[in-house]
Amino acid sequence: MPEPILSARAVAKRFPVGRGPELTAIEGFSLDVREGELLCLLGASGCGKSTMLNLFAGFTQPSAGAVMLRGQPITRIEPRCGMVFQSYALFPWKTVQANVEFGPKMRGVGRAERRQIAARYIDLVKLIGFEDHYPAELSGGMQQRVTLARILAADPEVLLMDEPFAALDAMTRQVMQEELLRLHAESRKTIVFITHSIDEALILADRIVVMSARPGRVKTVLDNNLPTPRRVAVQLLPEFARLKAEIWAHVEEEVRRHDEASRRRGSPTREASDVQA
Amino acid sequence: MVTTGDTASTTIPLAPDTPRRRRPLGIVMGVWWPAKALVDPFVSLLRPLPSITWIPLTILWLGIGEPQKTAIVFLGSWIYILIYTVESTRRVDPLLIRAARNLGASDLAVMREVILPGALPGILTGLKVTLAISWSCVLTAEMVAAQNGLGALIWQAKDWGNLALVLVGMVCISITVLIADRLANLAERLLLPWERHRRA
Ligand SMILES: Nc1ncnc2c1ncn2[C@@H]1O[C@H](COP(=O)(O)OP(=O)(O)O)[C@@H](O)[C@H]1O
Ligand SMILES: [Mg+2]
Repeated sequence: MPEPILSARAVAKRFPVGRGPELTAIEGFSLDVREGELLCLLGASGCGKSTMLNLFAGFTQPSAGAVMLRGQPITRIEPRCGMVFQSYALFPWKTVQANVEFGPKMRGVGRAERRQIAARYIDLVKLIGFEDHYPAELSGGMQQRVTLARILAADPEVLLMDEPFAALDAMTRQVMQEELLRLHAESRKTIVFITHSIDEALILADRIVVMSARPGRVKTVLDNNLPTPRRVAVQLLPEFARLKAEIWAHVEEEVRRHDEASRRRGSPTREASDVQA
Repeated sequence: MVTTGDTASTTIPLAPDTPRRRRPLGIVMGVWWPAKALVDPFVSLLRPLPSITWIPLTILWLGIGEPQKTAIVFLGSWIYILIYTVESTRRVDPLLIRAARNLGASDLAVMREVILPGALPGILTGLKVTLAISWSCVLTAEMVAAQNGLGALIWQAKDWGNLALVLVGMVCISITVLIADRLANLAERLLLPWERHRRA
């Protein structure tokens, strides 16, 4: 088997909480991400998905264990792992064009070539005609497309996506999911995609990693053998229902475990029940 | 005597509670204020001074004339520019800085591409505030001690009993402020094209 592009080895991440004991967000998390795959990290909110992605991007450092890119530990913000933020994080003072050109500009690419690169990705995300608009003038779906174009133009080796479509309406989300699949099929870039929706994971992923309730660990890894290209109709297949039931069984166990733990602590939290069936 | 004893006995049970509750705030204030005062002693010391209080000092330093007026404007306003700049720099969204770094930006690029444009609206607001403050600095300086200038003219017109001249002077001030305001707004529109769409 080829060397994994991204890997986590027994990673733990603890956060200080006031003067009380530390909060363990992730504990004993190990995972290998294969080059070129679209991997979905699935789990209830609060189980440590974003924390794990921030570790992969080098925004924070693990409390124990190691996070590696091509076998090298990630020790600072890693531009080879491009992050697509849920809240877009577009530069409000830059036009669509300038936002998309940002990555190439930072790499020292000349003006003319930069324009070409930007034009290609603006075309890819179907935003031609909006080059001179500012992010504030665009809808949520269009802004998320700009972030996608911006990160693709920066050409990282891995795309890290933190519930990028969670804030979109159902129809726009579906369109964006199909576009992401098309982009992935064309570029064969490695993608780590976070979601708390089983449906979304089943539509997008090559492999699905189900995370446990906090502290987050890998509960199970499933291969998604649903036929490609996947369109909406894939949800009608018996295989889709079977996989969904299988994943739900894993998730449900975690929800119960989490609920019992909270009850024992006397602080019921609803976080774990947030997974969408 | 009896009443004093009574009040004492009723307040004593409350007393131990009060400091316990207040301690965290006290620690924060105790640690924070000296720290802040050490970090920017000039700001803490000079900030409370209204611009007029600089007039006697500048006259002693520079005598009466244009350099003294310039000094008044400078001394009365730089602190506001500094405060607005520091504050708006601090308020730049850290997520955008993170995003820029993730896209490969160096320290210098983060300054130029994110912190500067992110802080610019706040800095320009500071400049507009400063413009108004500077203007009143000049007029005050001219009225208190000056041979020429609009402020001096109005002041002298009052002594001559020339009501018309006083009013003309005031209208001139008003028009100047209006024009300066328009120019500042125009500069803002040109420098912050993205804000136009946000407001709309
Ligand atoms: N910077 C932080 N400081 C303290 N606690 C944090 C921090 N970031 C995350 N946490 C906690 O870690 C847990 C996991 O958070 P997160 O990774 O955001 O979960 P998810 O993305 O799966 O919803 C949560 O309980 C959250 O409150
Ligand atoms: Mg999250």
